[in-house]
Amino acid sequence: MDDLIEQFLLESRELIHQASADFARLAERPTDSGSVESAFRAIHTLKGSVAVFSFDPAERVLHRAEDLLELGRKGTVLLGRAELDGLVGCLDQVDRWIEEVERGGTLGDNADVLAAVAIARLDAPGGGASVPVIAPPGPGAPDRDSAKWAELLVQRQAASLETAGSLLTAFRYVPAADCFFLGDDPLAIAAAVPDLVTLEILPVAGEWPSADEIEPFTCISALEGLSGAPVEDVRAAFRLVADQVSVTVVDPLAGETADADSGKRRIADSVRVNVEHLDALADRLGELLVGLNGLGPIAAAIGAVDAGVAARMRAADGELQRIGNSLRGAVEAVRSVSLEPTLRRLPRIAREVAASMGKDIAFSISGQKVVADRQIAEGLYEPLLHLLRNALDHGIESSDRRVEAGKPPQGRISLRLKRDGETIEALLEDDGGGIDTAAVRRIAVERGLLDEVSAAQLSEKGAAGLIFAPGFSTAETITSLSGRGVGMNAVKVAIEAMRGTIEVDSRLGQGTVFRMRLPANALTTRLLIIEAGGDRYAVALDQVVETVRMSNAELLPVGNGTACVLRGRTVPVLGLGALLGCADASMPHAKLLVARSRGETVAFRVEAFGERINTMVRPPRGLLKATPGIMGSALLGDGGVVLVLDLEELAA
Amino acid sequence: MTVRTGPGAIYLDGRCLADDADHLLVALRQSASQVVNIERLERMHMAVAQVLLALRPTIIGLSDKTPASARIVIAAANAEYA
Repeated sequence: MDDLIEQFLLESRELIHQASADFARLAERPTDSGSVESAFRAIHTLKGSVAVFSFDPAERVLHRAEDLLELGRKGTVLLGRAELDGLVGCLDQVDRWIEEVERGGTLGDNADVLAAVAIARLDAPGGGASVPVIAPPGPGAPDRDSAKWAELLVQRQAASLETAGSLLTAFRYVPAADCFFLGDDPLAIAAAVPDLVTLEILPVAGEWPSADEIEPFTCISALEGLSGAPVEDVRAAFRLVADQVSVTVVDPLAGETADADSGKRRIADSVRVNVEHLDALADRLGELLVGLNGLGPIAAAIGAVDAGVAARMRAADGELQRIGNSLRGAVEAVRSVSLEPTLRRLPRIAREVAASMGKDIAFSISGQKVVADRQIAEGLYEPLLHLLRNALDHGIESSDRRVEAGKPPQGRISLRLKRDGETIEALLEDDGGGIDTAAVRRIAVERGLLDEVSAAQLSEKGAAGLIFAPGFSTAETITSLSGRGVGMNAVKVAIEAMRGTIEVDSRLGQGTVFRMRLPANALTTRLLIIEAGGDRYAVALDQVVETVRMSNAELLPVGNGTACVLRGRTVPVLGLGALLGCADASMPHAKLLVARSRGETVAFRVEAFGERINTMVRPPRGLLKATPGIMGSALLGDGGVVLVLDLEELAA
Repeated sequence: MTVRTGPGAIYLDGRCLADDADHLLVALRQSASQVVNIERLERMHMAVAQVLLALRPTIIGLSDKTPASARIVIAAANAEYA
């Protein structure tokens, strides 16, 4: 693809995302002039970009949107729900055109008709007509010329912003000249802005007065600064002097490259790297780590011959392990990307799908700025998309049914992401009808997935988890979106391929939440080496809840199997060797590996626990791929290869 | 005394509030050395900051305990704006 088009696609998506975020803020605060200003700039810039490529229908749509935003900036029109619907509709259309351009280089068929439809939505009654202004624009609505202060501020502070990768809130506080007599301390007020990145004090008149001219009790300063906090939080810090403050949003990385003469702006400190190079780097790192893991056993062997050399070797091994871990962290950082680009299409898709079903929903996302390895970020999109579509199709009821059930007519779906150490947690929650676990149990029995007794014994959570079983679907009609019985299982398989887990919790009539946990880094996995059936294996530590040692007498026969009591609950015990088709050796004590499978706790009996290592796990290939219970293989430092077991699959 | 003249410098001690701006201005107008010591400064009001920015004395006594507001003023005094 042409470099110019690639750049256009990249920048257009960022501008669309910016404008979407501004519209979302305006939906909650229609008088937020900072968001109007920011949206105007994004749409204006986007219009310029599409014009370069002569995408005329897109230019017409954006021009009309820009006109409406201009009226909003001037305070002639209040951008209420109707106006925002029209603006969001325009943005969605442009977003769809961006995808068309990526596919085929043009806006696709019927672009003129689609443009006319989008413009008509803007011009519809209530969408663009002048309405009485409810709130005065105030000083927070800078006109076009004074908006330049924010640009100049970013220029001056470019050196301080080199680590700022996201939008910042810029403020300009010009205290009243007599504010000292009112008890104000503008310096203290501005210094209390949350998440302050920079703060400058400037003479309002352009230069400071001389020693003879200065009036000590007249405020002659303007304070300009940048904060990492959202606009609302910055405004809150100035709430007692709101009439003296202008606030706007800036993107420190946007804009032209440095002026060669003045050098006052910086080129963004980033480099584009081919992903193949990143993958090759990861492979070499993996080989290095395997090699490093081999030094420990060598040092142990030397210890039997020469203790002094062994000690020096152990010291060197320790240092190399430290450097290896540091290198791993550096490579992981290079490969880490924000989840934002992965998720930015979801709101538009949610709107379109809901509209196609005649359902009214509000979809919110939080935590998009969480970073993860690019493989994880890319792999998360399809499962999330399917879960979202499933929530829209099966979860959220029609407005009429919701009202009958005493719920608000608008359904709510939320996606929350957060990083917890080395784990990404994603929660997709809806307030729809929930999962009918009685129906799920019945269908599972009908499909032969389990017998009636087992189905009845499952907990509510365990029963809900049956939706992840292959071939399971409770949908009465297969829609174009979901209900083919492959969706939920495919979601689970996709999540587990990234060494993640997915669980579901649901309450009938109230809603459903899907909880996914994934490793933030795809490079290496922390493994525990174990022995079972007379051989060595590995298990991923994030699958292990705990390891337990107990006397054989504490293992109790239950039916045809064995169980133990852990923390007051009865937990089934499975012999890992037997599961792997080998004999379980009889041991003086029971060593148990406790894990979770389908929402239930299970204990695996092993013969020994070995070391913990951090290494790369190769996905299963060939015969191994078809073998259940195998997640992959790993190379040990002593040159041995171990199979990495999938405990959840083995227990199933 | 929050603004006091000592040997070789004007000292800003403790919490310097709006009233201290005039004391500081008088002291600086009369001072030959134009040095301000903020080693024992705990707080600086905007009015005091303005006097420092307008008269640009040499500020000494910066330490770990220097309040953030004073650091902002020192940075502003050292900056060159377009």
